[in-house]
Amino acid sequence: MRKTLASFDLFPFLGILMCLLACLLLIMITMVAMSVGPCITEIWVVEGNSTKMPTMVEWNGTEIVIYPEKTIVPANIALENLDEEGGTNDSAFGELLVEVKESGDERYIYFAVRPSGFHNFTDVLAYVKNYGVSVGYEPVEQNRPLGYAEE
Amino acid sequence: MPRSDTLNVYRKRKYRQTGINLDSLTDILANTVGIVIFLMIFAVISARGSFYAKSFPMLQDTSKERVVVLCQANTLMIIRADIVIDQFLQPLYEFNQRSSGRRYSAIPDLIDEFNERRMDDGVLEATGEAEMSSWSIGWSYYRKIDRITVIVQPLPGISGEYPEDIQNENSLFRRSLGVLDSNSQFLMFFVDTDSIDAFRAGRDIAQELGFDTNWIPNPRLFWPLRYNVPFDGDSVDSGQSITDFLFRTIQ
Repeated sequence: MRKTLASFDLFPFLGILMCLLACLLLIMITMVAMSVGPCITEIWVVEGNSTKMPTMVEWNGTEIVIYPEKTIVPANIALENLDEEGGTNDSAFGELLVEVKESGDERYIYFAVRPSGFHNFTDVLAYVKNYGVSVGYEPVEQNRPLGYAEE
Repeated sequence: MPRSDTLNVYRKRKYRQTGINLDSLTDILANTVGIVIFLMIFAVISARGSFYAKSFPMLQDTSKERVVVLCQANTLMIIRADIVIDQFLQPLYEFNQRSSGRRYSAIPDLIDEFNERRMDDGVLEATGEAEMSSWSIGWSYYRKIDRITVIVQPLPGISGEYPEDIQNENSLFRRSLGVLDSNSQFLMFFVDTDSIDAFRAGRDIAQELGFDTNWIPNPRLFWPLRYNVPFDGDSVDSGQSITDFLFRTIQ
């Protein structure tokens, strides 16, 4: 009796493998493009020995985002009733201002300003300065994810 | 066995033995997939974010003189418009020192001088427009200055520099910084929405050279600036007004 050799046809397997390879390459190129492009998350870390600790908030023109929890507070609520006499509001931002002011020289507010908030940032700055807390600020690209980490 | 049958068997066997073996290719592909997966994991981890050690400067009061750096269209330019306007108006300050009668007779010459006057600081150019009116009542003649406008714009061929341009030691930005005094002056960057990179590059260089810096968001400034000299009666006092004008215009 004649023996017949059992053989596998590997072409479908190769086809699947090639497709998988192409998909992985596509994903990898996308990730690398993101890592060198504008979408990479920029994580700010306090440099050196700072006597005051910043609390970072983001201003985008309509909302204040408090880091690191990323609590979003609409501008009209966040800035309501702020005045030089210490008037504040019950929003998360209002509470933050109270905490920072009470901390004296230990903390200050640091604004990351998006281009969408450039046109009215000076108004926000005036509110916060009038309230009596120290501030700093820095521009950040509109679509760049931003993080903040303490050492 | 006949010879022809032997040959047929040999041909069939030889044909089977020369079939393509894909095992090696499969190995190579499988290894490649493994490497790509490894690279992908690495890329995903690195793309999560980059850590930047960063100083978080606070606003500080300063008694230093403010020097404006205009950042727009992703370019930088140090502008001393206040000084250019102030120097351009020197004849007016001298005019103001005169007595009332001498001022009256000097008005036509002053108007002519301002219409022809031109000066620059190597970056900005100032020219003027001036008008007067005169009339008579009976035998008395009167004249007065109606308007003096200073027009300020960059000299032809002068424009802002891109971030890569200011790395050059001979860039206009660095040369302009070279004539400033870091002990008595600080740089205020007026930053448009499209010029964050230019601002950062300029600030890094300024800080390397020992300058204090600050920035403020600022909408696009369109040249030329037109400064209308404010009048107080028949004399002109523009000392503080130039600063007010520039503050309103630039900020």
